Amino acid sequence: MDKTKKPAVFSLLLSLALIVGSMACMDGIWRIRERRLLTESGSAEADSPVRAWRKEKSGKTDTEGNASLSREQIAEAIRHFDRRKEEFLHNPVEGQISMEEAIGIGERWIAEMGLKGGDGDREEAALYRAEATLSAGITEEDSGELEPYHSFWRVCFLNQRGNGVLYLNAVTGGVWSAEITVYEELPEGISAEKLRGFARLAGIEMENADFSQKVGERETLAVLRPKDGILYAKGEYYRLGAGRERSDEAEAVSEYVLTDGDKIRVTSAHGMGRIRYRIAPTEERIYNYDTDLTKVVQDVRVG
Amino acid sequence: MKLFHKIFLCFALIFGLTFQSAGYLLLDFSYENAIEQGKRYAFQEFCHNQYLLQSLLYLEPEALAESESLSRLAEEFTVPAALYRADGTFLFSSMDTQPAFPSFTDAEEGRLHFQILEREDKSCVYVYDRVEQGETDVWLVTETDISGIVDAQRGMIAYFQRLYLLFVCIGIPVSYLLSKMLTDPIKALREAAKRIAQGRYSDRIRAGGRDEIGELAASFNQMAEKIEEKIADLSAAAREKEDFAANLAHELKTPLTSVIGYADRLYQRSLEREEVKSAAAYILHESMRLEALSRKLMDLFVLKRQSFPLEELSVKEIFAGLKEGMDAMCGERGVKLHIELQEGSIRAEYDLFETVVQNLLDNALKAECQNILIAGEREKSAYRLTIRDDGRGIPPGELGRVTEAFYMVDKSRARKQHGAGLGLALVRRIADVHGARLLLESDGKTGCAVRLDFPLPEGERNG
Repeated sequence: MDKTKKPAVFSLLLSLALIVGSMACMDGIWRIRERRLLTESGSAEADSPVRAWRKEKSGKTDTEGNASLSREQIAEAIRHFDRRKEEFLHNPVEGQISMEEAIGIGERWIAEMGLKGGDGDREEAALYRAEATLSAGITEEDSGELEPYHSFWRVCFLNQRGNGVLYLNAVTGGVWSAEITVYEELPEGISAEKLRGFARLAGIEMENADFSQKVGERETLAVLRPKDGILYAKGEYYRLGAGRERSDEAEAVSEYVLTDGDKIRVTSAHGMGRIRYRIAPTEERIYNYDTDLTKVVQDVRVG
Repeated sequence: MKLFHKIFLCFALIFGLTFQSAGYLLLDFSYENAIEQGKRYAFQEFCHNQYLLQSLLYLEPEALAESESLSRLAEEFTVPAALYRADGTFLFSSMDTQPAFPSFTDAEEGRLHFQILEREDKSCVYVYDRVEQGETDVWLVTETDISGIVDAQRGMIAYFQRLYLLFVCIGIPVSYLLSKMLTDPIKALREAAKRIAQGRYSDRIRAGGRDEIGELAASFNQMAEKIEEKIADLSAAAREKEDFAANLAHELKTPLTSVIGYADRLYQRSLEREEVKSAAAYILHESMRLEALSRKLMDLFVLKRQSFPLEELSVKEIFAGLKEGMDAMCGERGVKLHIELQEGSIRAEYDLFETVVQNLLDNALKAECQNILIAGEREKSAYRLTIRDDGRGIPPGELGRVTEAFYMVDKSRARKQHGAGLGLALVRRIADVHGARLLLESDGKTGCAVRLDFPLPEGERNG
């Protein structure tokens, strides 16, 4: 090789060696690093996004000794939960009710709201299945620890009469939202008494509240609105039937296996009813899009 | 190794190290975050399944004793899970493969335990903790598959390396061109230096840009220019010395030849008194010429090598001191001397100034003039001294050369008058020492005027 070309060839080979060598070196480092990452073991503290309940701060309890919240706190908690982007499961912190208490409250709620099944003499509803999880809603604006009343117990239940989901505030235990599907003893709609009962069980007194109701062919909308309050109670009921509205939802509730091996089956011939109860801040639109009545049959206002 | 190669290697080294290091740091951060997210997700799944188990045990405390309940539970769990009794014995599992776990007795309250394992083509996070519900006390283990996360990260690493190779393929020719661009001006500089070394002193390089290379090129051109000037000056000085030596040899040879000839004649022959006197007269005459030549040469050499302190002198006073000698010179030839001087001072060396006046008078007398006028005028910033005669003058074409050493317009006439052609050369040199400007004016027929402009001292200007 020409002497003058030797340095050029040498430098080219050396630079290629540097380039390839750096790649190989990095690859080796990566393998070691990945091995460490994928064989990691240890323990981690069970995270909780909420802080313990500061009883000295709130100081309020209800008649049963549970902590109680102001209307503003309730409104804030509901707004926060509605704005959530994700839910973070966690264990109860001090000041929050336990899973047993949540399921117990759920059973009593079902019984008091007339949704009990099984033996009619029992005060609690006979639950074939219940599942309770505690989570806190996380919004985009959240940073740091949240207040304990931002957590909700989600109690999913199934009994002879129906199934549903109850949302209980983790601090007060009040059921602030419920969505029930009933396939036995379908109710006639939502009465003022039922809605007041729901508000009471939610832990929210609605003195001098106006009750209004719109009754349609298959739907009922009921609202309990205090004159100067920041919260109101809303109830929606609509009847489902096979081949008609929401037939896909009717198909979804088809079969459940009970503890004794028997199965219950909902047939389209019986039909189903969907009931939604909710405590909402007054700025929220009272009538949701999917429950707006197509034809109002009866409009009742009761003070 | 050439600079070009060094630059190219540096590019390769810096690029390789920087790209890989930056990539590693970025990917490591991403990978670690992704694994943390995976772990967090696994913890959430554990929490969810823990609640499922607790809810079941709350409603059916004896559920774990019945195999049908366990099968139903397996279906309820959202992820593959396993149950162990409080003492660590196996109860049930829906996992494909049972991993080996550390002792359950090491569990800490309030803390979730985890282990990440990679098996075959799956990476999973195993989370385990004690679950107590009523009188039931079990260990729950959940398996959360994070293979998707790991595969995504490995994909990113592979993509990064492909990107690296792509940038290398682009970078190599780019860095080659950049290195070439940086070193080409230096090569041009080297070639120019070679040409100048070979004698092409007028060669220059193009000095573009304001960077260090541009500045180097400009400095190189400046240096080349100075070298060219110096070479030209040295060549001129060498030629001048050659000419001087040649002229000196010639001026020495001529009178010596005559002296030797006449001396030989006196030595060889017996001559009549008149012939001896004639020969002796000729020898004397040529010897005097040689003596005058040697004296003037000495003066020229002294002027070259010595520095002369100048002092402020009144022109009128200088000429007052020189008048006797000038009158004697002119009186011998019957030439009338006129002196008209304005008041003024110049910075001069008296003896040198005297030499100037004597040489100029001598030239005027040799030009067979009748009148000599010495006039002094004070200008704005100079004192103008003019020595004008009405002799034969100097042909205009010769005016530029008469101040050269040994140059004589009419050699034969000058030698007769003991001239050596050094007088005006001496006057020019003395004028340079005084910072004065020398100017000769003549039409070659009606005489010659020699003008010397001496700079006025600081206090005399614009006065």
